[in-house]
Amino acid sequence: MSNQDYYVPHGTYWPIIGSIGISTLFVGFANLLHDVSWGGPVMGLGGTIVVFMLFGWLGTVVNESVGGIYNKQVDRSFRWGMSWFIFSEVMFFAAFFGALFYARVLSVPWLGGAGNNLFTPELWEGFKAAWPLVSTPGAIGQNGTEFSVGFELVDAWGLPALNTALLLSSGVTITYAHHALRNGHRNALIAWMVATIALGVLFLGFQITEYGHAYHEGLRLTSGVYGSTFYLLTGFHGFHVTVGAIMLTVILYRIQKGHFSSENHFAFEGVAWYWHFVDVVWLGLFIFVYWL
Amino acid sequence: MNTAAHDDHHGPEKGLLRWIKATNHKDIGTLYLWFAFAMLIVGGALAMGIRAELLHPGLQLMNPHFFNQLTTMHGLIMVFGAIMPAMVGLANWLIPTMVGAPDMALPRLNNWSFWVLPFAALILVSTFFMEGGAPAFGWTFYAPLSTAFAPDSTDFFIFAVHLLGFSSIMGAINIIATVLNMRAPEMRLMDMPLFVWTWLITSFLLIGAMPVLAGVVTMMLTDRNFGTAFFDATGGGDPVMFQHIFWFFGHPEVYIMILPAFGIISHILPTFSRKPLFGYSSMVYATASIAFLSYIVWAHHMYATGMPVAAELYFMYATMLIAVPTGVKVFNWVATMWKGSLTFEAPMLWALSFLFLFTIGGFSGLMLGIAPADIQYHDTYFVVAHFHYVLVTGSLWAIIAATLYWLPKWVGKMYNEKLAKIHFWWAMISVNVLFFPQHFLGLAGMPRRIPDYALQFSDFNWISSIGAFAFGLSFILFAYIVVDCIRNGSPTNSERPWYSAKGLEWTLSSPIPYHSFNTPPSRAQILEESQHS
Amino acid sequence: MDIIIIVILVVILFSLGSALIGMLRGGAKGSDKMFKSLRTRISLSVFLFVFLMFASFMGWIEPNNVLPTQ
Repeated sequence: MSNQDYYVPHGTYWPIIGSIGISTLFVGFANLLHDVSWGGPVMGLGGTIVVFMLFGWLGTVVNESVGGIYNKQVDRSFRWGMSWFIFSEVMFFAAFFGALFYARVLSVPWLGGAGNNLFTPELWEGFKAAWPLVSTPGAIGQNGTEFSVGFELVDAWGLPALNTALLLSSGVTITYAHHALRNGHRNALIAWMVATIALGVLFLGFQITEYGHAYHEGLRLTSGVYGSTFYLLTGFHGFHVTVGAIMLTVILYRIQKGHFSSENHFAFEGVAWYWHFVDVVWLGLFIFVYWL
Repeated sequence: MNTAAHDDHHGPEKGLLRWIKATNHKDIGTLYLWFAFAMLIVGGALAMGIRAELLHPGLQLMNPHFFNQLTTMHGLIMVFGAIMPAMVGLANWLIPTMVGAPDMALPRLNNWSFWVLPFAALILVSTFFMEGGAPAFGWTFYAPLSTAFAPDSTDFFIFAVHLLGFSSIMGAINIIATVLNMRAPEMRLMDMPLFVWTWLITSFLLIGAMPVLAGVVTMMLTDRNFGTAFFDATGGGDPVMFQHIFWFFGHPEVYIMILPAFGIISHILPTFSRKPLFGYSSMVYATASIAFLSYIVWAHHMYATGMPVAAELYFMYATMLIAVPTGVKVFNWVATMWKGSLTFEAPMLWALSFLFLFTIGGFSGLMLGIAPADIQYHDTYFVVAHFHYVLVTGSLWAIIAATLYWLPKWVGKMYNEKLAKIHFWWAMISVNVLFFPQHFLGLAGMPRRIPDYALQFSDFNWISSIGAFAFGLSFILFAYIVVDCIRNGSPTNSERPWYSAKGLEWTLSSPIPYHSFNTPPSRAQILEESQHS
Repeated sequence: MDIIIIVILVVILFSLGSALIGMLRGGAKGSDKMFKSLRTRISLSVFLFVFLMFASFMGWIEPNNVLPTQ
C-alpha cells in the first residue's frame, strides 16, 4: 500500500457520444411505436452510434490496460464497478420475477375469488383462475388489446429441457476454460471458449424456434399475464445471452491476441461471471415457469 | 513516490470542451449542481402555475388536463431533475476530498452519468409540446392511468425515466467504488465522515431500487404498445401490482433523497456548535437501519388499495419502526448542540431550521403510517404537506445549507453573510406560509391533484399561494448570492473559513486544487479530522 | 419436493454470490475463491437438472404443462 500511484484519465468524448446515441435510439423507438415513418431509421442510427461508442470506449480502455498504464487500484475499481453493475441487473430481473410470483400467488387467485374477493368471479362469467392462466378474464383489454386465448402450453420436455441442457453445458465448458486459463493451457482455453460460444449460439437458435412454436400454438404477448411474464422473462434473458455471447467472442479475440495471463485476467472473470449469472437466471426461469 | 499519474498536468481544457470532456470530479460536480438548479427553476415555475390556479376557487387559468400535466411534471422534475442530481453533485465535489482521494474511481463513467441527464431532461420536458400534452397521471404514474388512458407522450416519458435511472445507477456504482477503493489507505470505515457514510448507503439503495423502476416502466411500455397484461385485470394482471413494484422502488427513493441530507446536517451542526458530533457510530448504524427498513415498508403508500388486513398491519408496524433510528438521529443532533457555543451563520440557520421542519414532516409521516388514520388522510393535501416538509425543508434545505457551507472552500471566497441571512428568513417564513396551511386543508378533506376546490378551502389556499409566490422569488436571491460569491466574494483568509470546521476537505488549500489529494493523508491527520474524536 | 428444489436453487445463488465476492477481492486468493465457487455452482446446477429429470421420471413431480382440470 505504501507505493500507491493514483491514475486519473484525461478528458474523453465517448460519454457524450454515448448519450447522443442512446437518446437517438430511444427517440427513434418512441416514434416508431407511434408509426412515425422516420422512427425506425433514427432508431437504427442511434443503435449504430451506441455500438460505435462501445467499440471506441472499450477499445481505449483495452489499449490502456495492455499498455500497462493501470495499477492494482484501477483494476479494483473496475471490479467494484462490474460487480455492482451486475447486481443492478439482478434487481432488474427481480422486478420481472416479482411480477410473475405476484400474479401466480396473489392476483390470479384473487381474480378467482380467493381471500376477501367474494364478488370478483361475478364480473367474468366462466373464468377459472388457475396457473398457468390459459384463458383471460375478459376478451378485450382496457386499452383495446384483443387477448389471444386458449393457447397450448409449451411442453417442458421439449425444447425447454434441451435448452437447459445446452446452457448448463456451456456453463461446464466455461468452467473448463476458466480452469485452463488459470493453468496456462492456451490451446485448451481456446477450444473450451469456442465450445461455450457455440453452445450459447445454439441455445439462442433453439429459443427462437421455441418462440415460433409457442406463437404458432397461440401463446403470444397478448395471451394475458401468463404470456406477458413468459415472454418478458425469457426475452430479457435471451437478450442477456446475446450480449454475453458477444462479450465472450470479444474475450476469445483478446485471448488470441494474448492479452491475459494466468494471474491477471479480470475481463475474462467479469464475462465468465456474467455468463454464469445468465445461466442461473435461466435455471430459475426453467424451474418456475415450467415446473413449480 | 506518491503522485497522481495523468496526462494533463496543467489543469482543465479551455472553453466548452472542459465541460463536455470533463473527467474531473469538481468539474462534473459543478455541472450536476448547475443542472439541478436549472431544473429546480423549471420545476418551480410549474409549481407557480399550480399555485396560481389554486389561488382562487373555480377554474381560473387553465383546463384540468393541463393542471394535471403541471403537477405530474413538477413532481418528476423536482425528484429526478433537481434533488437527486444536486445530491450527486455534492457527492462529486465532497466525497473525494473527504476520503483523501485525487478524484472519483471511474472518472469517465462519472462524465457519462452526468451527460445522460440533460438529454433525459430534454426528452421529458419536450412532452409538453407533443400532441395530447405531457403525462398527466401524477408523478407516481399509476396504471391504468399511465397505460390505458395516457397520452402518446408517455412513451417518451418512459424512455426518459430509463435514462435517468441509468444515470443514477452509474453514479451510485462510481460512489461505491470511490468510497471503498479510493479511500486513503490509512482511513478505516469507521473513520469516514457521515456525508460519505450516508452516500455510501444511499448508493446501495440506488443500485437496489433504480433497476426495479426500469423494470416497471418497461412493463408499462409493453402494456401500452405490445398488448401485455401486467397491470390489466381483464388479462389476468393487476393494477395494484404496478403500485407494489413502483413503491418497491419508490420508498427507497425517498430515503435516497433524504439520507445524504442527514449527512450534510451532521457536518454543519458540530461546526457551529464547536463540539464533536454526538454519537458518531450510532449515526452510522441508524443510517444503515433506515436504509434496510426502507426496503420492507413500501406498501404503506397503498393502505387504500384493499390489501389483506395482515399485510396492512405488517406494513404499519414496519413503518413505525423507522421512527426509532430517525429518532436516534434527531436526538443525536440535539445532543451535539447541547452546551455548545453556538453561532448562527447562514449554514447553521438552514441546518437548525432543517431540524425543526424536517421533524414536523417526520411526524406527519408517522400519522400517515397508521393504516386506519391513513384511510382518512389518503390522497388529501395532508400528504402534500407531509412530503413537501420532508423534501423541501428536508432535502432542499440541506442542499442549500451545504452550498453555503462548502462554497467558500470550493472557490476560496466568502459569500455575503447579510444577504444570506435575509434570504434564509425570507425562504423560511414563506415556505411555512406555503405548506403549513396545507395540513389544515388536508385534514379538512381537500383532495390533492385537483384544479378546483370547495369554497370553504379558499382562505387557506389563498394564503398558501401567496407563500408559494414569495418562496419562488427567494430563489432569485439565492442564485444572486451564489454567483456574487463566485465572482466578487472576498477571499477567505484561511484554509478553514469556518474556524471550527473539521474534516479532510478543509486541510486542502483554498480553492481546492484541480486534483484534490495527490498524496493520501496520514493516519494522524485522518484521526485529527475525524468526526468521532 | 418443491422445497428441495428451491433449497438447491438458493445454494446455487449463494455460491454465485460468493464467486462475485471472490472476483471483487481479486488477487490469487480471490481468483481461487471465485473459481471454486463457480465450480460448485455449475456442479449443483447440473445435479439439479438431472434430479429434476429423475424426479419427473419417477413421477414425484409434474411439469406445469398439464392443463388445469376444468
